[in-house]
Amino acid sequence: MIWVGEDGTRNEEYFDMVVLAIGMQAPVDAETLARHFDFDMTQHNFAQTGSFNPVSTTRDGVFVTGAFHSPKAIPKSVIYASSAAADVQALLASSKGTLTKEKIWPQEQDITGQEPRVGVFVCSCGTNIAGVIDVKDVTQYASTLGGVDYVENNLFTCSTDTQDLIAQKIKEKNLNRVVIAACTPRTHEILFQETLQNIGLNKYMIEMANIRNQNSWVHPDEPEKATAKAKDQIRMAVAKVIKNYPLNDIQVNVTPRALVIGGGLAGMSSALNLAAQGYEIVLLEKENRLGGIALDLYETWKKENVRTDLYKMLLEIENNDLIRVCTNARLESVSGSVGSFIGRIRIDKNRHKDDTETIEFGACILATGGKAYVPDEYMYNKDNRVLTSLEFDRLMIQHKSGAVNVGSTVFIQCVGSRDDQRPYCSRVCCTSAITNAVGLKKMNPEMEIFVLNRDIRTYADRESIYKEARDLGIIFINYTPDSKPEVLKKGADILVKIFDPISQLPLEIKADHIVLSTAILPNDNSSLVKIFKCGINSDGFLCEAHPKLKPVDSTVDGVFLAGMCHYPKPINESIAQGKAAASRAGVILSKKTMQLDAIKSHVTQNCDGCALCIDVCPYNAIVLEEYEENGRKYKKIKKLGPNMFGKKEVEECRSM
Amino acid sequence: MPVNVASEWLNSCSGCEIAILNLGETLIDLLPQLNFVHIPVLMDHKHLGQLGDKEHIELPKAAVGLLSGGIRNEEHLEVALEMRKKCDVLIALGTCATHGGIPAMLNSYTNDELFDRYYSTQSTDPDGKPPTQGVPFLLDRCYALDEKIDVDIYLPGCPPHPDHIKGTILALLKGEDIKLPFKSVCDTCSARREGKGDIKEIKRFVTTPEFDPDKPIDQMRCLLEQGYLCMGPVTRAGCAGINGDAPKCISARVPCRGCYGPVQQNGNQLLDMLNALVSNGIDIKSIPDRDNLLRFSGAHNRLVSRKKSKRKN
Repeated sequence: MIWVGEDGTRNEEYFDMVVLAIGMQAPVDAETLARHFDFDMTQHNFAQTGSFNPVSTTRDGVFVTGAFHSPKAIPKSVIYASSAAADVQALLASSKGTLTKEKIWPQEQDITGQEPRVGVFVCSCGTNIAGVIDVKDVTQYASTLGGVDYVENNLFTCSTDTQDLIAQKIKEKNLNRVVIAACTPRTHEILFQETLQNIGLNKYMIEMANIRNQNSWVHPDEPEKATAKAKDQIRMAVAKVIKNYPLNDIQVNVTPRALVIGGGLAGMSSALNLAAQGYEIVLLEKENRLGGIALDLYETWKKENVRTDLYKMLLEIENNDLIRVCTNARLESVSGSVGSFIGRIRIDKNRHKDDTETIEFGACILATGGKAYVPDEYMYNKDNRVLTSLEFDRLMIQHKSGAVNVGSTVFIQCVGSRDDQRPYCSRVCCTSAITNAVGLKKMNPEMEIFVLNRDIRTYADRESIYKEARDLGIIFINYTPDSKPEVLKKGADILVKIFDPISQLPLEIKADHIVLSTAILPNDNSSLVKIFKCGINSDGFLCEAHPKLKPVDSTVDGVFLAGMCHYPKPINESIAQGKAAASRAGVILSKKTMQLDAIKSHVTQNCDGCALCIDVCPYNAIVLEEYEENGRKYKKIKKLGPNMFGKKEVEECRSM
Repeated sequence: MPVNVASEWLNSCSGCEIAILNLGETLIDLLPQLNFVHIPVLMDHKHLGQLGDKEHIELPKAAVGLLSGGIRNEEHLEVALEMRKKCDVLIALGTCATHGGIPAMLNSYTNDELFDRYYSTQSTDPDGKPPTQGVPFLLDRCYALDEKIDVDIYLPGCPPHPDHIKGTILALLKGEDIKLPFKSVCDTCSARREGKGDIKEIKRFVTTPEFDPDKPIDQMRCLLEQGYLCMGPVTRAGCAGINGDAPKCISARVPCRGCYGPVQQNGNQLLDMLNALVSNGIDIKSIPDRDNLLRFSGAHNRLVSRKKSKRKN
């Protein structure tokens, strides 16, 4: 391949393979679809949406998600899908539940006193299992185990017809226990449990032997040993299922109220959507007013004035009876679990007197937001012409002429981002700086504007603003971590020194304003991590349950994430995730009761009180207690009741 | 009629025998009921006959055998087999007997590596060679007793607490059930515990833990919760005796070293400890020498030479 480098040198190199990273384009019939539904498209044939209503098309009641909205990978497609669901949930709130039917299970048969009669179903999983493990041999072996009355090998044990077959065999052979030797119970146990429930057998009379994920997949080169291991796994599962006895699921009543922590755009979007769905919301904000970072933002890249929409939202919240706003408030502790949490909040009422209160909620949305990195480089704080991007936005809001009527403005990108301390990209700064640069250039075409960058990341449709900037003559200069620009004072002037890789010359730019695109940092989430035992990454952002498929759920059931506490996001993505979290929370809040797993741990006589499990318990459900035996003091773990608060406090908050 | 007792020591240091003597006045009460037919620590009774005229080791019959130390050479093995043959009830006395003990740390190296280190490294005189006569041949590694012979009663400890030696012998004499601790060292520890909190790394024991020397142990925060590697949770209780106020090392404000071996006879102190640390979010890479968590229980193939295991692969 032959190409020309930035410095004009011609390069030539030989390769064995070339991979083309092709772009994403709208499907040819996208336009037809838009015409049928009568909504507008962008110039690139993606759906036209606003930053504050990220999934609403220009036609009321029609919502978009996925790559039809704009180029997206899986996680954002899932977030936008939940967001669209949230808007629909809100629109259809009045007819919620009118078409649902409750599944009625047949009467459960009493198997007490019966001898164990186990059926073993060995799955081939196509070739996934049978390609490594000798399933015929394993099946034959299973039939020799004590208590086993029926064995069978299936091509796909999870297929619908095999479910019918299992049900039929259970009836025919009068089986009272089932072992499925197949894949992971994490994904498939529910299916087999339902098969049992459908014919009136208690769903806990099943065990799975994971001979795929934990065997054939990891031992593809050792079929003989894998087959021997599969036999062991099945023998263990049979031994266990024989000891199983029917259990009844525990039910808790769902509290149809959500707690939203953080009153920025994401949190407010969550609250408004949940209110539209008809649920009560308690919205906690640690500052004395709602709005978060958006209070300091000037304009989106689509030229929407942030304040206009922000004030509209603030007004809607103020006038919504279902939303109770607590400013100067924090969450102190929580007990209970999904569907039925009880939390204690502390409200600093007049900066002198603190007030604590206990509230019940069924789901929680964490939207604690982010903050700007405070630089100590580039003469920040040493010269008042060096501003952070948030400060520059404030200048645009409060004293626009002061920003516009200058000779030159230099934007420096990646300040505090993408370095050893903060290896991540802060995602919004390229778009934000270029949006401001374009705005300035249009208002004052004489102004010299430079954007010093490591590379420009105006992803998806934001690319158009980058193109516009270059068309307007805004100058983009590349730098690397080894050749960072320098800011220095010369007399009364401030100068920016940078090496231009294209002309291969050092440049000195006299700047009237230097705008630093500072990194976005998460707010301190450590207390929430302690309270909920939810996951946090090494950069301090909260972790989703699954990076692709569950991008809104936190690692704790019933707790969801929205906005910049998750990772740096622009307005439209924060709002989309805020609504998505509301949709996910709505799934829980719409239920009257939650089924909890019947399998519960209990403290055995072997507990030696080492206290290793206390901080590991995700439910804060255990404490260490002292007891005396033969005149000697010992410690052991004690299980707490459903919540750690007193009965009086619970009653108090129920009457709220 | 007194009960015949035989005692032998194998790959050990005689600490367990001292622990028997440490029974103190109890021993005087017990002695009329015991008839020691063979006990090298007290009596000169030779293996190959008093004149050294026998070809094979011969020991007298006994109702109870106390066997300390692991099995490291051919002589140990022969004595162990003879003890097993002659004793009705065989007690593995001390952690060397139950889990290999300190000598089993050498199981991380092959015999070749051992001899190389011992006879031909810089600090040794030139031309040193392992002796071939007058000393028994080494086995390939250090074995716990139950890897070679059947054991009836496990009495771990380095050394076992006299309370438990006494309790075991008394129970045997009376024909009662033997009651030995079955929980971990933590069960007998009174240190204040609140949960492992925010510890991310294990501290090396080169700084002093926080405690007030004038206050009892129950006023001191658990050493593991202070970030020190305390083996308490994965080590069998016993060192505190029956009425002791705290485990031995803890009462000296030192973290447990794990000398009673794993909580369950077939447990794995290394695996259990790492499991406990990891589940509490503690970085196990902060432990410089992980094999050391098996410093008392390296037999049963828990510690193996890296060279040997590589060769196997």
